Amino acid sequence: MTTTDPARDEDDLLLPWHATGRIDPAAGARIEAALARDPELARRLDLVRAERDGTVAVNEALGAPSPKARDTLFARIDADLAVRERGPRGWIRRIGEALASLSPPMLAGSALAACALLLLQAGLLTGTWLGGSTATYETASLGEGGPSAGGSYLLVAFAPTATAAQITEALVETGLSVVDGPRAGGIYRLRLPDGAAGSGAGSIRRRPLVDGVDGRVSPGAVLDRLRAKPGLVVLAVPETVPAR
Amino acid sequence: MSAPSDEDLIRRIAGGDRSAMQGLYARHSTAVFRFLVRMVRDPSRAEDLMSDVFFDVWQQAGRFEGRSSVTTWMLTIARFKALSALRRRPHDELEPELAEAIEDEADTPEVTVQKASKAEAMRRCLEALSVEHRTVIDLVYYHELGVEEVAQVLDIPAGTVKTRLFHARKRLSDLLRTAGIDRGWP
Repeated sequence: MTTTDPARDEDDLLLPWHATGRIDPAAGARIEAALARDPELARRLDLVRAERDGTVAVNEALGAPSPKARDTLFARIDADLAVRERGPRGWIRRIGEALASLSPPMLAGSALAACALLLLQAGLLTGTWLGGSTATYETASLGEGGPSAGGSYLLVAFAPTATAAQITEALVETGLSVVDGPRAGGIYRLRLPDGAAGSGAGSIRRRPLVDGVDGRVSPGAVLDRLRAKPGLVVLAVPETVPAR
Repeated sequence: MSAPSDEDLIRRIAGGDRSAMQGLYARHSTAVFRFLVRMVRDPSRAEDLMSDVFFDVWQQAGRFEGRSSVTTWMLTIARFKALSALRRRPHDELEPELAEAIEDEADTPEVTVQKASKAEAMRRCLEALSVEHRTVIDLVYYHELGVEEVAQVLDIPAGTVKTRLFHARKRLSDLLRTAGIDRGWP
């Protein structure tokens, strides 16, 4: 290969690829031209072809893999397929295959049915959303318990020693609910709803909290009940002027 | 209908298509097997390695990016597995350049090859090359890969492929000369 002509050296190196036809067209054309004018290069190409023929003969004499090798390989592949089938991707593939097996009219019908179902769901959700409260939250004083709701209002300051359980029990017993507070001095604003005797807790009906003949709960009676509980309140008075 | 390309088969294999795998195996198993036999010189071991190569193809088809041909990709995997197997061999099996292919039962290598025909001498000398030399010769002459493809399989630069093949051919000439066949080159 050691000549003083680099192009000729390169041609020598590329002769094997020229013999197999795996050479780029430009280099192939250059070698063809060189072969036409250089008998020695042509002789070396013959040597290359003899090497190629010998290599092909050696390889072809090696035979082919046995059927057993094939069986072993596909047994491994089948086992791998079985593992894949049990995995989540297997389910997705089976759904895909089920869809693919549908005829075009069936597929179109299924798609329409799915669209109709989606629209129905969207309508129901929208109706629920629009028909309900527009607020995303509600305060404890909203609605019946709100400041504008009917009923009587009391201002109560619970004793520092009163426990949460005592306060809760008293509120349930009297039908009161906290609508505001604590304000300055620890005063809570409590609401006594109209008709509490008819809809309140059973304990109210069992006790004489009602006033006169209309069967309504008397704020005064409720205040007395609160004051009567030892250690529960330090202040309990009716609210005479609406706070708001 | 024309046969699916190797790339089509690989795409189907990536989707778990067993029949595509059968097609690819039918098309390439013999070439891969022979490549492995030439590297490890053991048909039984070559079959095991070939099975590993195709199982890798089955499992990794989704990662095939098409930057090389499927043949190049598979031969690259095969070479890697063969080299790993050769590294696990006992040292006495590691080959320098095996003169055993030339040596016959009784005669010296030279005498044995002289007895054979020129083609037979060529065969024996091709088998006697080192694994590095016969691999590059096989990839070029038998598997008919281009320079860049051989470079990918062997993971070496294209220029090195050319010089490695030159040295392999030069070594082949030396062996033939030893066997009494002077080619007048290099």
